[in-house]
Amino acid sequence: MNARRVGAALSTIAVLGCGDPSPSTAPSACGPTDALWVASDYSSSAVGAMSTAAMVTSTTGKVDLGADPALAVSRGRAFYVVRDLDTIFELDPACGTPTTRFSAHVGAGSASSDPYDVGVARDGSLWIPLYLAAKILVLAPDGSAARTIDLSSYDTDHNPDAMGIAIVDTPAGEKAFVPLQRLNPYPKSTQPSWMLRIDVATARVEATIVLAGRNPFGMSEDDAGMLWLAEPGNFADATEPLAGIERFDTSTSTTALVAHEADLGGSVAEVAVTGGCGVAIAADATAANVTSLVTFDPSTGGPLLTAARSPLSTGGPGGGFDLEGLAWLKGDLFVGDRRRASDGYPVHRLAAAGCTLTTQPDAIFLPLPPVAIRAP
Amino acid sequence: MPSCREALACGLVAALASSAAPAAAQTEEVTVHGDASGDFSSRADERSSAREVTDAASLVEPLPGVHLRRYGADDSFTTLSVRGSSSTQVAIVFAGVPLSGGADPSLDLSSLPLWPGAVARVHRTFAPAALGPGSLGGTLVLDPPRPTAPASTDVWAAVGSFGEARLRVGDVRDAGGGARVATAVSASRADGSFTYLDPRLSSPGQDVYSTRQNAGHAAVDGLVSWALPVRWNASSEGTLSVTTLAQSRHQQLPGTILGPTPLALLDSDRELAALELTGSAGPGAWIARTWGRREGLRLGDPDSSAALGPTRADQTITAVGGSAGWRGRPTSRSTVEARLDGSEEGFSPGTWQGAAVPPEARRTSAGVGLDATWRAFDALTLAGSGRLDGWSNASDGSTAGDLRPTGHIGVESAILEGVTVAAHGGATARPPSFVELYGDRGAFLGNRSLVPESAWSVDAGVRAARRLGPARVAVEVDGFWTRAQDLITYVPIGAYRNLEATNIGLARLLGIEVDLRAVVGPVELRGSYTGLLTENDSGCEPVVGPCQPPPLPGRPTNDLVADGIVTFGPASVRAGVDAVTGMTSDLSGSIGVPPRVLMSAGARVDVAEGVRLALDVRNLLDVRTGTYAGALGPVREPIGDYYEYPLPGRTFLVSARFTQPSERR
Repeated sequence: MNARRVGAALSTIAVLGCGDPSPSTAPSACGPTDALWVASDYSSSAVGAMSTAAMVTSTTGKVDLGADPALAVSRGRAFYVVRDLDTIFELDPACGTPTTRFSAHVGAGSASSDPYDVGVARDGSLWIPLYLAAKILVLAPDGSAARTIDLSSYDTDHNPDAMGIAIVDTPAGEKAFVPLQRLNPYPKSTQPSWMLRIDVATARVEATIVLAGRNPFGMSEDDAGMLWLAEPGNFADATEPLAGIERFDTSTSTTALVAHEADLGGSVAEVAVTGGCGVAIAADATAANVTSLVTFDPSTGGPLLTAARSPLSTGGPGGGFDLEGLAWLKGDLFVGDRRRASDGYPVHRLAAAGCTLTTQPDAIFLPLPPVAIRAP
Repeated sequence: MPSCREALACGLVAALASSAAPAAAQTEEVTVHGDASGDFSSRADERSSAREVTDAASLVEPLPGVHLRRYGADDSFTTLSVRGSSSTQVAIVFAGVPLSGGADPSLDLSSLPLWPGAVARVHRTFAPAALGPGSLGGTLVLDPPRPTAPASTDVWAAVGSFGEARLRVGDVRDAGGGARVATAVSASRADGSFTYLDPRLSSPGQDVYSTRQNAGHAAVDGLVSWALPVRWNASSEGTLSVTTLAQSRHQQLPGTILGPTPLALLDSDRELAALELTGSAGPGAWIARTWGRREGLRLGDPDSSAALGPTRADQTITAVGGSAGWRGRPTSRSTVEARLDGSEEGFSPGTWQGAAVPPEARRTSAGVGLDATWRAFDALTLAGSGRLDGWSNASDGSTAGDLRPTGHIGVESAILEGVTVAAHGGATARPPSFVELYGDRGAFLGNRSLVPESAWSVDAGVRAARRLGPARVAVEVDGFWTRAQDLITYVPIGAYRNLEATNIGLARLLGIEVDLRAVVGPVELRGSYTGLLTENDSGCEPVVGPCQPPPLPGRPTNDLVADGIVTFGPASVRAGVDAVTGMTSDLSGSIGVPPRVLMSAGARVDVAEGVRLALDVRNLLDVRTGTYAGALGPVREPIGDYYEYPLPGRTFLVSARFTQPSERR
């Protein structure tokens, strides 16, 4: 495992060995697993583990799994983020079963805080960006609230829309990187998005870096510790010049928009990079936002397979924003599909030779539409 | 699906626990008779309810086949489901005027007016064609006090928990010259500020109860109706009836407990006028009616954001319509009612801030309907009802329409003294609403290619009313089956999951209804039970493998309302139970809502001639939470069909009623 491993938003790239032990969980007995998944139809949700051959475990029908989940992995620990209930469940990283519950609610009232992600610091504290509360909540290792960092000053509407967090060991020390969408008026992207750099030791915001692209929607980290941001700008326009795929170097806090959405053929919702191959889920500009898998050269940003030549697309009757969950596992690409097949919601496997992808027969099915897939 | 036999048997047994007040007369009244058109319907009278009636929703709540979905305490947003329908699939008619339509297909029952002497009738699935276009679930008809009723004056006043205060006044009198006048006024207010287990603030081992904020209301309603005798010619006499209604309401909108809206308000008003002329014609009477309705709604939420909706939204719904027809008895063994009707309905957005303005829309409708019965033999009656409805919707310069027949046939036979069997079968439909067709230019995307929802249904049952030794019993037991198609379902679309109405829904519903009233000496039992099994054929349970259709969310498998009343001279005491079990809350049917069994109690005493005092205690045992399955073990959440909309704990209501003349009771 890369020592600078981090928590991020909706997708992942890193191919990690299964079962880095969480200090708080007992040995697992769920069989070999390669990734965790969360799924939801936005009225109920499920979480579990999968191998590259089949779904392994599944937890469904639990009211406190909420209706709007996210999956976070950081420093070998995995978390199920219940956005609508302000709750975080730590997961057994091998089995994907909930083991511990944390509250991510701030404030005395009942208004939603909306946790989006979890980053784990070296000291075991949990850093949680709160999308609606415009704060970062820091939980001490025992789960108690240690502090909050107010973000309201980073947008004129008092909410900069913090969508994720990555805690990274940089040459300058342990830093937390927090992308700010800065949608204003929400949900339109009309102004530059930022990346906050926070010194973990002092919890002080050190810098705001203006991102090259707008509306970071998904974030992942590659094997080399680079952050990759999927930046759709506005989903109603797939030709915006400041939208595409951005690569953020955490060691220098420099950034570049390496691929443009117009070249890829759609607004980018998720990105995953491994070795010499980058893949992304791109959505067209229709109301349905039909998704396609696209590939690009991560070193140059040049598109390899655009949406028009995609090996996997969700067009056709009833098709729409259906590809969700993107992960490289054991050298192959796995993509979740929210359209039910005869045996469930498929996680498509595409064999990769370099960046040439070949669709394989579906063997992994989830009980609910997938939202995220991540190696633990 | 769960075991049908098990679920229904359980309900049947449970239904044999029940209630009531002025015993003897009501056993006759509660016998549920089929309509002239042939359907199963049941009637609720504000004056003879076993419980103190707080709002229009509570009036119909005890009826079989009915499930109310309350989103809070009394007078909070409340929708009606009949035989497992959605709230948009129940047509609502007030004093002959349709209140639900293209602009407002899912009427808030709490906004319906209620006065002394108000009567509600719920036609389950099938409804008389003369009432106008029905819907998949059925039709709720709410009638105000009739000017032709016996002269009387009623005053009912009550105070209760959470700042609840209510006043209802009704008066019917002779105005001279044969004219009759009915006037009614009602007013109510409440804070709705009950406490609930707050899932956000609670943690394992530490319960935190929060107070529901911004959940109150204030409303005032007035009604005047009069009837004048008319002599058209020497051989034709009739009546001119006019009904006018005015309502004003200030409703606080608390939102969910997960997304509270502490500043959201809805101010609304409704004005309605209906004029009806009748005259004798041959072996019957002709009827002509015209009506107009206007509703104004002003939504304000200064705390809202573009993500949640407009900060201000004003809109107006106007509708005018009319009908003409004849009803009578062409032969000694037949009845016929033929009706031609039409209406024009418009939706106009006014000031709109913080969100896109939804489009204006209009619907022009015309229909012809026929209800007929034929008593083929002394013990056998055939019934039929049919409508042909056409409508044209217009918005943003485009116009589209449709023409659709609906109807049903039925048979009713007296097989024994006091025992009747009946069966019906037919087709129902509902045209898409304006927001389904045209969207709101915000979170809801329109779909102009929608076709009407439709269903095939059958029902059959037995009714009996007879003496069994010292007991007088009236019972109705029926079963129903519905296959619904082209159901309009909102489907998340696009990256931001906007909702688009789509004709993808398929569902099957199977159920049983029991309505029982019994009187034994001073003891009266009243109970209604609905057992329901549903199957959402456009969804799947959260399983890997072949699709297993889940139940429809929010539909209880067992729904029981029962009361037992014991009368001692001028006083009576009541014990009641409301039980709802077997409900799921999510689309895939995996989140089971805990069973909810709420006890209630009441007492009434006639303290003087025409004066009655009453105390009603609901949720007697103060049940506040239910236990759900959680990720780490059982978790408690507030009670309610959806726990995000909690129901209150124990509440009290003290009321006084003055009735003149008193013997009418």
